[in-house]
Amino acid sequence: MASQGGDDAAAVALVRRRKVLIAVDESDESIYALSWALENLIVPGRPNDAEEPRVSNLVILLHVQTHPQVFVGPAGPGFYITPEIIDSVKKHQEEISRKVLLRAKKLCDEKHLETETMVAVGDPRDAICEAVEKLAVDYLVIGSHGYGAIKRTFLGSVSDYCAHKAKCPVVIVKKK
Amino acid sequence: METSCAADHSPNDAAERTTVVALDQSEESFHALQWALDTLRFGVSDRLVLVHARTSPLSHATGFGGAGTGYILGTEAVISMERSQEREINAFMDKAMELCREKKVKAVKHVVYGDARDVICEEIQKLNANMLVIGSHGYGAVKRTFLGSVSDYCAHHVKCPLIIVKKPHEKSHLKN
Repeated sequence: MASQGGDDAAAVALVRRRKVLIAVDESDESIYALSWALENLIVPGRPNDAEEPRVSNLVILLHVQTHPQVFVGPAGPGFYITPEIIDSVKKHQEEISRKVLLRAKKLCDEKHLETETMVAVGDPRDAICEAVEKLAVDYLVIGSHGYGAIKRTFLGSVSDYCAHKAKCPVVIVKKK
Repeated sequence: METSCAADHSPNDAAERTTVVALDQSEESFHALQWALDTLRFGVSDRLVLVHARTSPLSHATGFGGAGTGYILGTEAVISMERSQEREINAFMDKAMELCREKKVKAVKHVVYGDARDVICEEIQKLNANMLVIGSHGYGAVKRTFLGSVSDYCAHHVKCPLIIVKKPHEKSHLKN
């Protein structure tokens, strides 16, 4: 467990800061996972917290942008990717990130939680696991689209990957 | 008697929430339980159900020596093996209960015969559990994946939110 700005002694007045990384995207499953986590894991002011050292939570909302790849076939690219196209795609992705993080942050603000937002670019699987390591989070919350490699299983591929690779406890919230 | 439901609700709700914690004798298992007790907010209307899947000693016995070795176990042998297994189980389950008591969290023990994968999934269904906490043996850098087979199975098959807690090999990445 990460402790910030203080030693680990169990003094009553100490405030421990817990970092929770919550991966969000445009899906409903993602928002559901976020709100479930806020309600069930991070909620402040539980009755039996009175005697415990005060713990504050920092929620880090991460959105991963996947930029489309440029494919060059055996006969060369079928079309030219101009800087304008790259720019327009980037702008579009930024707008998506903004909307996603805004929606997510709103939920956190309603609970009066300290929140940070973060954007990463690349494969969500790796980006999320890297963020976990870089930020030394206490745990990761991720939704699950529930399709997976085999339709009959209830686990999405990103959540499956993160469950394996992330170096922290992983909370997987499946879609209802 | 149980009014727990899988949907999220406010912490002041009187509905009882049930969290299943899968336990075996391993350190990883206990680490998961301790992590849950330290990190999650359990209120007065929450309870933990500590689930342990127990295999019949007979299934171990018939594995000895392979076909035709002539091991015949008398009833007394079986009973004595069951008793000794029970003593072991009670020992670590009581230790687990004590951890919960220390954190003032309501807990009950459920020891069920069967394969861990099936037992855990069935208990979750029977109890209409809100959440599963499970440790993961992980195999470290040697194997490709860092997830044990029971936690992997449960991650795929349970429909409720689950938390997979891996025991870190080095603590370095947890400290800031």
